[in-house]
Amino acid sequence: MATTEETQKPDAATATDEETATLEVFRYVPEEDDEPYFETFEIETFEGMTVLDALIKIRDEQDPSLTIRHSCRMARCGSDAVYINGTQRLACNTQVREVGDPVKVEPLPRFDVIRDLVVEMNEFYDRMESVEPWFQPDHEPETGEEYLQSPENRRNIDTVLDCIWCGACTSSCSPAATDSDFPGPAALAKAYRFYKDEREGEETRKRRLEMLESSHGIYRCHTQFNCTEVCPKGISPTEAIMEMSRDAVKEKLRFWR
Amino acid sequence: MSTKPSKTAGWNWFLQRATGVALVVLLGFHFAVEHFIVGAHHITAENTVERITHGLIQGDHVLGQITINMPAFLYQASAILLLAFSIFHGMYGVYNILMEQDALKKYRQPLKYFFIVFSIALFIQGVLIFLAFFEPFWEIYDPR
Amino acid sequence: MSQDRRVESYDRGRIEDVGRWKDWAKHKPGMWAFYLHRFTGLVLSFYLVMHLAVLGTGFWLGHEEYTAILQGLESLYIVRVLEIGLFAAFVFHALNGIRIVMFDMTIGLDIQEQLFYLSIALSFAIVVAGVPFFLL
Ligand code: FES
Repeated sequence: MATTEETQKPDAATATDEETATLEVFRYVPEEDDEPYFETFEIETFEGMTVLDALIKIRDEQDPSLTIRHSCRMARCGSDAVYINGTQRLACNTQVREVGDPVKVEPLPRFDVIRDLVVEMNEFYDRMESVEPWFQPDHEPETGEEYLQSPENRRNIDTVLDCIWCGACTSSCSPAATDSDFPGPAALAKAYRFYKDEREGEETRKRRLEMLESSHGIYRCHTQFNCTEVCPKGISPTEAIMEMSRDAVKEKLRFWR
Repeated sequence: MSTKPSKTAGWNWFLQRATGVALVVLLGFHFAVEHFIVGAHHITAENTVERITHGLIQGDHVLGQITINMPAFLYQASAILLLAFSIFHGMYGVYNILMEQDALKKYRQPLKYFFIVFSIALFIQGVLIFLAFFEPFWEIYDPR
Repeated sequence: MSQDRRVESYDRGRIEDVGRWKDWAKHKPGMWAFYLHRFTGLVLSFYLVMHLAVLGTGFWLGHEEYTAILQGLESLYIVRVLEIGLFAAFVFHALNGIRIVMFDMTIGLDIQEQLFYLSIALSFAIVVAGVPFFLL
């Protein structure tokens, strides 16, 4: 019976919530530090504690100068994408106990750091803007006052609509890192959302495809699937990009025939 | 971010795929002939002439005595296509790697012309090698 | 990045961070496929240029020299071993290339990892089967 007792021990420990976790947090305060460094924090964890909870706890109890961007705390706003143990994730969507110990938290790779875990997002927003992510219908709807979309058409863009602009995918994509002319996975998934929308009409669809087809557009995707792996909302930008490039080439071949 | 439309990007992308698929077959054939049937250390100028001029593939390697007499034009076509496709596929691939680097942004135009000129030079060199082992050519000009 | 930075920020660099090499153990199969595909592609491109340069002796110098140079190179054991490497590079690049063309036709995007393992396994089998042809 000794074995059952032994197996029960760790369970009992989790039940009483007396576990601690080590967090190695990237620190950089431009006014004080020349170079970034890592600071180690020990905290008590509880069942269901997210990395964001842990960081807030550190800020409240240990070091009030720790800076992190966050808002909704429920994977909705996309403001707290960070690099946790080698993967881009939302801090509010990652369990401290599931990512292993120590938990290493860094700001998004390849983005410039403003302070601690806060990165400069303007470059990312410029990329998003470059694909014109707004509704551009060819003409007014013929009947009624509404732009009607069929449910089948809406289903195409169900997943890509979930994008919360957190920047995790663009941070994970190596072509986006080395080529600043490449819009990156998030922007191309956004472009796909409008490309697939039937209410925009044929003309805009053609124009969008032409725009995306530039030599630094969709053809820069190397199917690394990093974006698909890290997306906290389960979007597959790779799939969207592949579908658009397939359509673009099909269009070309049709002219030739 | 520049989203300047490009007429050639799509075609080149498509050609990269098409030549890639063709190369799987062509380069596979090339490996089979030179390494599996003939054996790289048995290659001489004489049997290269046999292959290129007459389409006669003869070898005595691991697989034993093998003689394949394929139509000469078929072998010649495969050789020239292999040359053209591999140069396009290889050079366009390297060119694209360089185009993706922000650090080389300034040199995009010169790099483009360099790669075009270099690819043409490679193709000419390849055709000259082909002609050096192609008997009808010797009647006009003996390379030796 | 020449983008106008609207606030002061610390640039951790892009080129040296490409692929985040220090986290290589965290890389997913898709990324490894990319690295291997790019590496083998560069190897093959380099070999193509060298190959044409060496065979050029057949035209520029003559047939005897061509035979002599090829036999000379093939008598070196290291060349034969490197040729196996070249064959391996070709086989992997070809099989993974087929995988990529499948993606371009939007086939198998959801089984990309399995396809990568399949291409690795197949190339391994083909290369092992091909070894005697290069060494004997
Ligand atoms: S805080 Fe809003 S997504 Fe994490």
